[in-house]
Amino acid sequence: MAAPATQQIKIRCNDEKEFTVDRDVLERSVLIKNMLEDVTEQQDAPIPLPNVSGPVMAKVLEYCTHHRGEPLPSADTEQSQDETRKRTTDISEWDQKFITVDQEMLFEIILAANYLDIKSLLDVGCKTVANMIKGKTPEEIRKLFNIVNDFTPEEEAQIKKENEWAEDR
Amino acid sequence: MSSKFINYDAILENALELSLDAAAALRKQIDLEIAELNDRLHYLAVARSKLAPVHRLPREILAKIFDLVRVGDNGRVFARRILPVSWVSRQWREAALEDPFLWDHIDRSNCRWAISCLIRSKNVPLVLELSDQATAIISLTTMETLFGELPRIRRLKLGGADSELDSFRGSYGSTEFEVLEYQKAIVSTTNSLALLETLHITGHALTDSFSSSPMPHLASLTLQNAKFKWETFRLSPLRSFCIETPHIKMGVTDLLEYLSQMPFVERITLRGVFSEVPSSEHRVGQLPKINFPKLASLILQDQQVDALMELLNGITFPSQASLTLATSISMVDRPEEALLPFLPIVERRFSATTLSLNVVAISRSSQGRLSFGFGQRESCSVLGETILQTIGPEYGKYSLQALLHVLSRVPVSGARWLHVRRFPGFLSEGDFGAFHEVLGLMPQVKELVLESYFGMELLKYLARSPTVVLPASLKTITYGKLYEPCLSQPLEESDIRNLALRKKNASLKMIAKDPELWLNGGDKGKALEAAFDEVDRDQGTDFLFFPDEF
Repeated sequence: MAAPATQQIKIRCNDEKEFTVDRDVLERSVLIKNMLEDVTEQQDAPIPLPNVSGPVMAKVLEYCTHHRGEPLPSADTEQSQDETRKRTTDISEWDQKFITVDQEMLFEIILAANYLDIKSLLDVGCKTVANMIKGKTPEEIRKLFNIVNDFTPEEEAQIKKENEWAEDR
Repeated sequence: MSSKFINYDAILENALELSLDAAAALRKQIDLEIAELNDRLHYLAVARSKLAPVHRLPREILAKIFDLVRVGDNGRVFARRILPVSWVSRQWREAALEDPFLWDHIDRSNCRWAISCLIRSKNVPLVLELSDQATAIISLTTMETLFGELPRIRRLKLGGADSELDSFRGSYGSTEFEVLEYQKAIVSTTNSLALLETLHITGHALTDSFSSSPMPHLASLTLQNAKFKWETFRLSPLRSFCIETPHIKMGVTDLLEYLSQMPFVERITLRGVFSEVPSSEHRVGQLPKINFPKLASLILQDQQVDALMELLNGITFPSQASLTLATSISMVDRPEEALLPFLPIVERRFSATTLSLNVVAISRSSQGRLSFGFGQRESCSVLGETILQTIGPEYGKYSLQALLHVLSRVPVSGARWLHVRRFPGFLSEGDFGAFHEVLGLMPQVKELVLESYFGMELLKYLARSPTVVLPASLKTITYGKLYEPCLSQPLEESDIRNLALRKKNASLKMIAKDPELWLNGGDKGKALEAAFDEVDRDQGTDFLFFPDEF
């Protein structure tokens, strides 16, 4: 039988930071939801989350709390590639404000969402990065993310060729 | 400086005493050292870069981000946006090249691009769109290669404007370009279309062998200006069915028979399908009605209003479905009269989510807001909002009379939103007065959306005429799509103040299609912007200026 929504669950991050959170908030994470479903008896020991730090988990919990109660995406919608389903990179106003963080935190949130299996948060993070990339040249993208051009001269030549045929109309 | 570097100071103090050979040798040694240091610097920069936060993202997440980079505002995929992303670094390039789904959209813009996509997409299902206009000619060999991949195409779009085809014909010295490029390629395929989900053909003739190919997953079929034989199509249970001006004409009964094969269809669009008054009129009445329980949108546009009426009599569908009925103004002297027979249907289907009649359109939104439209095409009606748009220059000032004529027949007192687009009839005081009358019929209207030159003229009228009374419910006037002619005689500062006085606590949004044009439009544009600011300050109103894309 499903536990009541008000049940409190303890989690422990990789920096030993612990959080006590309502079960329905934590169950936005499919990983944790599955863990909780596998545990038949109530346990007092916190759930260890070795891939997430305390500050990142705090942000993730802020997101999960705001979106608690919303329907989780089903496997069908996830897999659907059909033409009638319009994909966009639009982000809601609240999510936009939430995800306005420095780059390091942004990527950590994406990694945490991926690890914890919170699809909607992963989408918000990926859309944010995609929107940052759109319309930029490779050099501008490098500058934005502190990436160094590490192509060999041979690879550069290949890219230059690709550039020509991509532009050629 | 660290001691591991050679110190040249002592040698350089006596540089002039060095022989030419010794100086050259020293230069060479220093060059070597510079090169080594440059290599080291690059190595360190790359190493440092790998510690950047972005490098922590695994490839599958990078690929997901790259996929989203390809997506435009309207959901359309801009396939070649993947290229600059794949040129950033080795890690990004590998992530992009390793994911075949990032290369699954092929257009005919460039042979090498198309072929590269074919290779990089490996075996994943493809989207093949050969309909971009303003693109280059793709070679026959490439075309044949592309069509060789038909078994893994999930979406196929073939099309092209006549003028484009003409240029192709000119380039190939052939008058049979379509046959050469498309039909032949399609005809020659003996491959199955097993994965095809969407088929969109414009302006081509389908061979029997193509249309009779099994397409078990086909969910959306669109045929525009196409030639085909109905009887050859093996229609699967479609979700979307659209036929526009086919090179064949048919009767209502035949069409109903085809429609009966797709009981779970969600969208039906039929434009210009009927050629003449159906001879099947009596038969339709005797047939059992076909029910479409999932139909969400039905768009019917035809010169043959009787045929549309017959079709409507032959089917049933949920009352919340959007229904658009339209005829064409080009063939009718008084389109509003041609559409008057629809009015009883409008009244019967009063609960429709969006019910539009074009040229005369009436709609009702899902929130129960009644709105109305008067336009050439349905456009905004899909949003459940009102249109009051082009009636066409050939129709001239009939438009307002016709509008009032229709308004007298249908209840519009609940209209909340009124959209006026490119209305060419606003040229005289009488027309402006008629529009004022229209507004008066809608005491609940909340937003008035105006566009272009005539919208500007209307705005001036609303600001300047002493007799104008704006509905108390009106909260927002949006003026968009500012075009150049508007700048020659723009609103005056006093107009803004007058509007502010007449509509306290309302907002006025100015949305320029081209913000540069607006902001660089000279002193007038700047003065107007300043007037907005001043009115905001003095009147406590919320007058907004949006120099954004409308």
